[in-house]
Amino acid sequence: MTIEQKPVDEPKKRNRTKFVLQMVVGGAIGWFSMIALDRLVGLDQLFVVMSGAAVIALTMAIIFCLIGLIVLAMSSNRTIFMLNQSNRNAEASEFDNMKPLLFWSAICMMMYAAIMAILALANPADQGPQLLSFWGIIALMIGQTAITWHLWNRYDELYRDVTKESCAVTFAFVEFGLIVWAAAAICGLGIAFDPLAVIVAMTGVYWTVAIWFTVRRGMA
Amino acid sequence: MENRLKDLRTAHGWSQSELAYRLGVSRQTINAVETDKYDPSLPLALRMAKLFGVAVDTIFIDHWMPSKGEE
Repeated sequence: MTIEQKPVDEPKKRNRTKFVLQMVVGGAIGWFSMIALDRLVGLDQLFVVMSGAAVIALTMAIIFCLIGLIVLAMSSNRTIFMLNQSNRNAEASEFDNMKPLLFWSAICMMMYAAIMAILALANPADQGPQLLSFWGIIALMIGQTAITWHLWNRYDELYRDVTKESCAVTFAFVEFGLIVWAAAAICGLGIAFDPLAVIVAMTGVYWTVAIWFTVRRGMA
Repeated sequence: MENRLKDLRTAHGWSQSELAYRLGVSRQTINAVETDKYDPSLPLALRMAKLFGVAVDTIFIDHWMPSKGEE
């Protein structure tokens, strides 16, 4: 049997260009959004009321909520589902199979958003609401873990591989970063080791790595 | 890894979804394998070979050759 040599370089180059273009457009949108937010609310004012980590956590919560809503819309309508370039060849049966996965992923994402929002907005001075926030986060974490377990059992090997790769690379980065960060704080270099900042850094690294692997596997 | 999955699939007149269904995986997995973005596990590669009735190395092409000392 003869084997044809495939011209693989051209599509790879095109994908890379597309990825860089998406990053640049995303960066520009983010930049202009921050300017708009500054004009509307005043970022200086926001930083007086909240710590830098809390502002980032709240921003993440808004982004996760928006992603959750988009995924929820994709799970409810095949036309919206097919808007995603990687789903443009999807058949009706595929949409039916993906529906519950997308629905539960969206719920999981919104739970994540709620956790980040509670962590950002909880005030240590208010003892009553603090306890409620704590138990709220525990409940959300239990729910999120149950959904993740359910999704893992429905994933095929590609989805599982992307999850495993993302977790392994995130751990490598986070382990290194956290040890250096903690060392700097413990050794008196004047750097704070704030729990919310740790969560924000960890979440940021995870999502960046997960998006990278998702794109690399042609799933986005 | 370079592969001929797309050629075999189209030769059978199957869509990516149809092949995915027959193999019990998602269409994204088939798409990722066909575009060389994902190397399937050994069980999945064996299932593909069984489904198409060919040897695994007919589907997947590895250009590695043992050096003389390893032969």
